[in-house]
Amino acid sequence: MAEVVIKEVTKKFGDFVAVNSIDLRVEDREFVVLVGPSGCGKTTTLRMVAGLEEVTAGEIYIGDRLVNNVPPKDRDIAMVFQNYALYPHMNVYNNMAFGLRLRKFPKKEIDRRVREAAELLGISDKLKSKPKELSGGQRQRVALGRAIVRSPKVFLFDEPLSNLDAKLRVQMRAELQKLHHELRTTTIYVTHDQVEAMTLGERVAVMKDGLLQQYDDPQRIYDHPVNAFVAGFIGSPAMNFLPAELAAHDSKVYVSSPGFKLLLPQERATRLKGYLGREVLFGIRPENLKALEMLPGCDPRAETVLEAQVRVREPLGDELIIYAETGGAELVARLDPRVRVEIGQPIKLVAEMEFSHIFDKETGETIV
Amino acid sequence: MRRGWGHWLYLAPALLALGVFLVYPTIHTIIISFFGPRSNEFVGLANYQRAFTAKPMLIAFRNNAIWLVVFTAVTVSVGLLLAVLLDRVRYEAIAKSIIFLPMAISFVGAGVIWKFVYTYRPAGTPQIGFLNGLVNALGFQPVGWLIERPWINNLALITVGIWVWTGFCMVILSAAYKGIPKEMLEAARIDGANEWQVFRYVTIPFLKSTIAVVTTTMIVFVLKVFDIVYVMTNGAYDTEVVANRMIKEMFLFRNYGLASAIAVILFLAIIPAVVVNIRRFRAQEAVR
Repeated sequence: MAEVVIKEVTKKFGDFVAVNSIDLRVEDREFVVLVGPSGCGKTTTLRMVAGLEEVTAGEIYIGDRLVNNVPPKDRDIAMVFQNYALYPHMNVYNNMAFGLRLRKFPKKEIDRRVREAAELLGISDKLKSKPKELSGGQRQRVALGRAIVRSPKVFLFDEPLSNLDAKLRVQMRAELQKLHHELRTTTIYVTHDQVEAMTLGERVAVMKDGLLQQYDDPQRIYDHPVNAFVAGFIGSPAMNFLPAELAAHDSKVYVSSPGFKLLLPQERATRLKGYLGREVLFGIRPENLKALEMLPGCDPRAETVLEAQVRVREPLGDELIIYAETGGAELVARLDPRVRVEIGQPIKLVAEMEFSHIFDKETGETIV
Repeated sequence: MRRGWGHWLYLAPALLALGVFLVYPTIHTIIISFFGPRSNEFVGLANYQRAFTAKPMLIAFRNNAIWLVVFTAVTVSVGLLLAVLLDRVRYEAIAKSIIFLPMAISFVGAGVIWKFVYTYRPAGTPQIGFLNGLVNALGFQPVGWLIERPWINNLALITVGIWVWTGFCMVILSAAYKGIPKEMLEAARIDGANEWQVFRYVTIPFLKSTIAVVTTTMIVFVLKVFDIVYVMTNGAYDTEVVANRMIKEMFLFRNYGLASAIAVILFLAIIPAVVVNIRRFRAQEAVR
């Protein structure tokens, strides 16, 4: 068990900066997810921790030990790859035992550990099979087993669920969470899937273009994104971003555009003083738009109501997603499935302004 | 299967070509191997008896065995080593091209080139051969590279074959090596393997079937080896090989019976290697 400290780490490939001076501290026993779109540098960061890529600048510590110049085999880490990377000529047992044999563990100990891990992962009956006889899910379990048997200081996961089909992915996600609760090994997990990041991570690091955007627990990232990129990346369907202007009337502050004029709650408005009369990005999550008809007490002329034309409706059973247009801007709302809407018809939506976000239009930084 | 003769029509050209150029000559060769030098008297197994007992033939068999072991082992292992090492080099393409280049030269051409390399003049006279020039410059006595029997001259000839064929082995093995998923090698490194262990426990098992194909191809070639020996020594000083002996019996001594018997022996010796090769190939096709 150990903490991992990434200190001002930069990685360049020629002139291209893949990872740009990242600071990240993974506590002992913590499960941290690195998430971001492809090319954001998350995998490169993980590979540097593994020792598979050299660090251009900065320092990486595992435990108290500076590992910049330590080869992968001496870092006491285990890694699980997207394509499993099993040894095709070895059976499941030998795949898992390989690392222990190289480390000269006694035969009995190897046998005990392999069988224990196989038991834990539910692949005890597959120990004699070759990887090609297994399904994708089983292969990924073997890859997990290979990591577990070594009881390393740190687990590194590189998009381990990406090659699985949707159903299996959900199931393995839950199993990974259970596994982490049992083993409590420090883990760094790379994914481009924000759902995996939210569900698995005790803390989540959002990356973009080699830069760390935000590093926090998942709920805080969801509720308080530091900029428009993080706000749009985390959450599905993604947050609505509507270009708007901040206008003040009678000491009230409104977010206004050709399609709508919405009143901001007082405590939010005070922090927006410097932006009055300026263009901003108004952000609101789909679940913070409610259908007016489902809120009997709400006044249709209230200053948080907007009207939009429905373009697409996606009934999912437990919820109804609608894509609508207002004043030339598109927005998505996640509604109660009982709401009656027709394509092409107008719908009145109530915006929960206390959960809205205002971003600087130029920099994308969060204002409130 | 449909009945009728239609399908035979489509098979006819191939069957005809195979029959005339392959099956018939083979059967004919087997038949005349039981006859005398002029193919007019039946001699039973006399030709075979001679083929396995005559002094020049025994030397040829021994030399073929030396070729088989040394040539195959060196071409395949050096080819593999080059494939793996050059994969890590920046100027890989150039290096591989240079090593592959001898394949573009005919064996006769290679023989002529290496004859210059091996040329020997008696000690005390100027050495015009490259190797002896080198040996002289280092202050040693010149060596009769193609004369000193049985090891130096045979190994000198085998070296020429290795020079030509190593590039071929390297190219095939390199293609297979590049097919290894990089993550698998990385997984092994993280699992605790050093570079040698990665090579020994992951790379080689992964390349096993390719190594087998390359090895059997080399064995088939080496059993038939002829041109290099024919051009450089023509079997002098105990460098004879079976195929060269066959040509001599056929076209020099006009002993059709004995030459055919040697041909049959070579044919039978090559069959196992070909069978292994075809099996491997089929197994690979089945996987696809």
